[in-house]
Amino acid sequence: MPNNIVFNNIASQLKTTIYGSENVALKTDSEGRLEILSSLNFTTTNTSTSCTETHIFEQDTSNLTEYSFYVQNTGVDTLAASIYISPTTNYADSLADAGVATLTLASGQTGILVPTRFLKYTGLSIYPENTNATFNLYFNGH
Amino acid sequence: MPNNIIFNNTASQLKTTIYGSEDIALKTDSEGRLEVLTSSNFTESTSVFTDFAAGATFMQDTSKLTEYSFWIANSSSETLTARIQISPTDTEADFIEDVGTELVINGTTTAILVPSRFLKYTRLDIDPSGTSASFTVYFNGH
Repeated sequence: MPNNIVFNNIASQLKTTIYGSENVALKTDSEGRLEILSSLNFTTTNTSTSCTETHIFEQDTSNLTEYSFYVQNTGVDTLAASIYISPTTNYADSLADAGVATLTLASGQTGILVPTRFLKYTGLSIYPENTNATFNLYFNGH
Repeated sequence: MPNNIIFNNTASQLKTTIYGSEDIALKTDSEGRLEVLTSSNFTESTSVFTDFAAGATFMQDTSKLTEYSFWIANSSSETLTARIQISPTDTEADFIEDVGTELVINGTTTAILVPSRFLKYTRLDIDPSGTSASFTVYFNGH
């Protein structure tokens, strides 16, 4: 019995349908363009604390394209919040994000600060207008 | 015994599941759309200039970056005048000013410069007021 070819040895005629994690072939349009879905790598960080001097809530934003800080004043005293950026984790190297105005929040108020300039580290500075500030902070990025 | 077909010779019925570097099939949704994750290309670069009398430049290849900033810390008492310059080549004579970016940095202060126009190469051009300026620069991009 002759040793026949099992596989098609003409590349353009050796065809197969590609599957992924679901039991369905990879989606293309009628011209064969592969359809993809771009996932975002969402990250979230939360802290609830109080301070009598400046409180720093710093994030590594090197791999993020859009991010915001959410500030809830859960205490009695008024607090102020502002954005700074820095190429290092050394606070002495940080500079205010010139495009973001300081936000003043009275007791019970909530606000959002959106950075406008990019450096590796982006942080929120919270400081009490009087003697004490109590707050709940969120950082959301992707 | 007849020589039967072992593999399915109808392309749409010859199916295979594609795996990556992890022991799991490529992720699709239920319609077969391939899900992709774009990894970030964060880059940083720093340089220290000591006792500088002439103009200094700090050039970066910005061809594959979408957002970037320069940070300058003037550690001397001299005044620095800094501006962004851009060029399609890395030839000195081809650089022109990114209009509107010039900034005066007083002694022992820190500043951030954000380019406003895109070309392949972007650099900081810094002129000291005297003969012994010292400063540190950082470039952060992604």
